[in-house]
Amino acid sequence: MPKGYFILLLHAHLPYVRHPEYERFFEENWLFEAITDSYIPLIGTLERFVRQDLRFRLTVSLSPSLLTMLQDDLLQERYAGHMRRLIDLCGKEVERTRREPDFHRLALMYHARFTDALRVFVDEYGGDLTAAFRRLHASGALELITSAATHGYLPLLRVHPASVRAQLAVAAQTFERIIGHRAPGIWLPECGYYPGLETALDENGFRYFVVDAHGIDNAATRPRHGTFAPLLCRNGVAAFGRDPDSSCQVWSAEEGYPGDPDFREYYRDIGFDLDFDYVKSHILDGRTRVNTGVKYYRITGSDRDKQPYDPNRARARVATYVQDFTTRRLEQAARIASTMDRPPMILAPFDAELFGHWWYEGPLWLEGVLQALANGEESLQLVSPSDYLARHGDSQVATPSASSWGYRGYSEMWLNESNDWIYPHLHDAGRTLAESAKRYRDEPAGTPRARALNQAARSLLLAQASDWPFIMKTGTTVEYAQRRVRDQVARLHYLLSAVETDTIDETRLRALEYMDNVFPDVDFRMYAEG
Amino acid sequence: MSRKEHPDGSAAPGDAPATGPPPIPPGGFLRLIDEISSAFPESPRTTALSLMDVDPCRLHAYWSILPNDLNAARRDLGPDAARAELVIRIHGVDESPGPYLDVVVRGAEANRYIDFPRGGGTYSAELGLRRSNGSLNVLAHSNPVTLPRAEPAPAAGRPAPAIPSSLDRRPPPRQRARSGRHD
Repeated sequence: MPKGYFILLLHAHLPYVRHPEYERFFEENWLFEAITDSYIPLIGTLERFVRQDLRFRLTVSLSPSLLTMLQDDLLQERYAGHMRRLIDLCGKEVERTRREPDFHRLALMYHARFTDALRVFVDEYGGDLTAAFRRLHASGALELITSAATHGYLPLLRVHPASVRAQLAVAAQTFERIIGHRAPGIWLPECGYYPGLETALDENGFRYFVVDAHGIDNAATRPRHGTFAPLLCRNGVAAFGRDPDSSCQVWSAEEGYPGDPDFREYYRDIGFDLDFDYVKSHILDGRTRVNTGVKYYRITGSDRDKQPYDPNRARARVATYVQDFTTRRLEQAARIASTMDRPPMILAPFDAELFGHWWYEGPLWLEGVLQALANGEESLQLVSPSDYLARHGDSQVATPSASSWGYRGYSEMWLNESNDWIYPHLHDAGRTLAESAKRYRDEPAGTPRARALNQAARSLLLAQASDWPFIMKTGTTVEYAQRRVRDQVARLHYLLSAVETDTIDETRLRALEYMDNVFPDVDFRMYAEG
Repeated sequence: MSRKEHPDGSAAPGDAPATGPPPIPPGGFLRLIDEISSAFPESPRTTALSLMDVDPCRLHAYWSILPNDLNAARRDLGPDAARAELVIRIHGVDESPGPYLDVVVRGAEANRYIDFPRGGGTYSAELGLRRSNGSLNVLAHSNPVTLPRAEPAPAAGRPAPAIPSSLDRRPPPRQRARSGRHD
């Protein structure tokens, strides 16, 4: 029996940002950067561990919108083009920095890194990273789960319950279609939970979910073990709580590892630092400055000029933080174990894109933590939530409290003066679609009317992504987020109006199906129920 | 470039969308998007009231009123109509016909954040015209909303166990960042 269990969970998600109507589109870079910085390094590390016979378990949540984008031909081709332009730029940088050794070795590093990423993407995975995740699952290293269809924030969609059910049903369906088996658990978008949600989770086959610590602490019945053991909802679906200590060490702006002065600075990028004429042919549309991923400085400190990044110094700091993190977890487990009738469970969930994209050294840290805890059957054992439930299925029965992992722990991030205008439209769109779905539920498959209704369902799902109200609040790419909601709501009403007036335009319908090609097997009839 | 089939080799079911680009000339997609964007409903389509929980002590109400519905409600009030105020009447669902809170709707506002002194509780509301005797000519009923618990449940029959130091309340976790977004 181990002294404790450690569940490391990475949640990979990006909103659906495919835009075939443009030759190049800024927000598609979100996906390309995540592939290069986070997904390929993660897969590479895990595959190496598997080859080395390292015994480890990692849980990875792949959101349906991300899964769909990773399988999309157009985005795969565009990613390859994006990388070729970056490699060309790095080639120029290798020449330009030849008399500046600190920068020259970094230019060489980026050139090699991007070249290898493109090679791995094309040659090893045939452009489809979902195949790599499937292989890792088959090896036993990964437990794969999913999230709601478009990462809709479920507590604020529940005004129209069919919208919640559809987010979960499409999630289960898409995951199974792409990954090949049913998802055993679900990452609730933003850890957004409300009592009663477990019914819809159970209906779609999800056996567990994750809530923030206060979702467990404030459960309807006082939890005996805090977040160190899951709770079982009355229908048997398990709720795992996020460990605040583990999270704080990585996330905290003050105490978190990613803020070390020796780590790479995210906000200094040659896309903004160098002469525009020099970089413009390699980035986006040749008119707009954007990040390239080529960054030459370390965080340094707020009171000094930025100093060149030194990968060796950064690597040494990573080793320190790996040691710190694993030591603290072992101490934490030992401290708690004496108060429990079973080994304590510590769950540390993170956004997958933190590692590599936002925190450049993150993949190295992750690699170190997995390596340190692997083979740890007698100390702190790496397990998945399903592994834990198989060994300790007799958890306390209690309903968690409504909660999220957002600012202040509830729904404020996704419902405030900057974004509250979207909810009347989302709820109304859901109800309108449900009315049409009930009216035409017997429509034969494949008719223009059935296709239009399915397309309206896709538009509703796309409008519901939690990313849009989040962006409206944070103020980063607000116009884009507003446009995504408005356009998708408009498309839904356009399609439903065409259905009701029997004026479906085949060319327009095909255009919408082509532009918003997410979830090919969606069925509008799911909105007709209830 | 990629393999697209289901791992078991099966194809997608019957309602699958048409594949491949439609016969639309370059630039046609953007024109189409602009044309269809006019279908966005700028004005309310129904008379309705909805509630959502923001946090343990705050809920959000939004509403819409069709002019015909408001006019009809005013006609129903007769001489009272001139003095009648439009209000959101909020009450605990377990307390009816107990105490309630009236929030007067001002001008063209269509939503409001409403704060409560203590966390938790389930509420519902009506949108209506308040007569001089305090009764309501109801235009719309809301969904019920339950505010989250703000504190641990009381221990059953014994003192609350000491909370390990690792469970001490901390400031809210830093909101996680995602591509293009951070705080």
